[in-house]
Amino acid sequence: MFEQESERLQLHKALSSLSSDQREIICLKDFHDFSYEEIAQIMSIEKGTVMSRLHRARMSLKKKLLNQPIVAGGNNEVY
Amino acid sequence: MKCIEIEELISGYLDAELTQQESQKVRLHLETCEHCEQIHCEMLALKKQMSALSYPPSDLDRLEDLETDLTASLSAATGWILLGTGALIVIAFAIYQFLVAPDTPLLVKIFNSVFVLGGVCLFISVLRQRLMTLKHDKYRKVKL
Repeated sequence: MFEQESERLQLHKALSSLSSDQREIICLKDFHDFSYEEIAQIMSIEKGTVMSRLHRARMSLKKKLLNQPIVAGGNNEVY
Repeated sequence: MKCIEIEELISGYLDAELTQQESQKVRLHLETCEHCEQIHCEMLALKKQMSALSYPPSDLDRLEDLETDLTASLSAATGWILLGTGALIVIAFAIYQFLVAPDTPLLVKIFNSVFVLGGVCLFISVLRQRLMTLKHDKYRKVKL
């Protein structure tokens, strides 16, 4: 239980340290479950760009998570 | 295909956004490449973690919940019923007082009644129009 909460907080922290574009694209896909077509419309970008941007954003998030020290505390909100 | 090309496609593969042919390529590559398979597993775990996050409700959602919860609806309905009943009693009493007042000439009573009746008729006509429009409004259930 504590471990889960700690993981969640770390994810929130890592998310908030991303650029707003990267955070937006990850949230639109993984959180709101929009399709690439819908994300392209929302963000006014080409559909083909969505996959590469999303991949870069996920890689950055993974990197941030790996570099983060284990903490208990932080921001509880996605945005 | 090289790892660098596959890496770009891993996200699309996870989100089921690739063509059948591309998916096949990625699947075959993942079976043979440990490096890309590791990235795939990490991305999958991240995606699962992300979808399990809680989303803070917006101020508008909170406001809507406050306006539509049971207490709010009940108190609003009670308020309207009390207000309507009170207003009806007061208006009826005022009309009665006006009509039975001994020192007001009959002609004044008639003219005033005609004037008020005209206003009531106009109000009913506008109310009817509004209700008809509301009934035929295709978008009334659409949440903006």
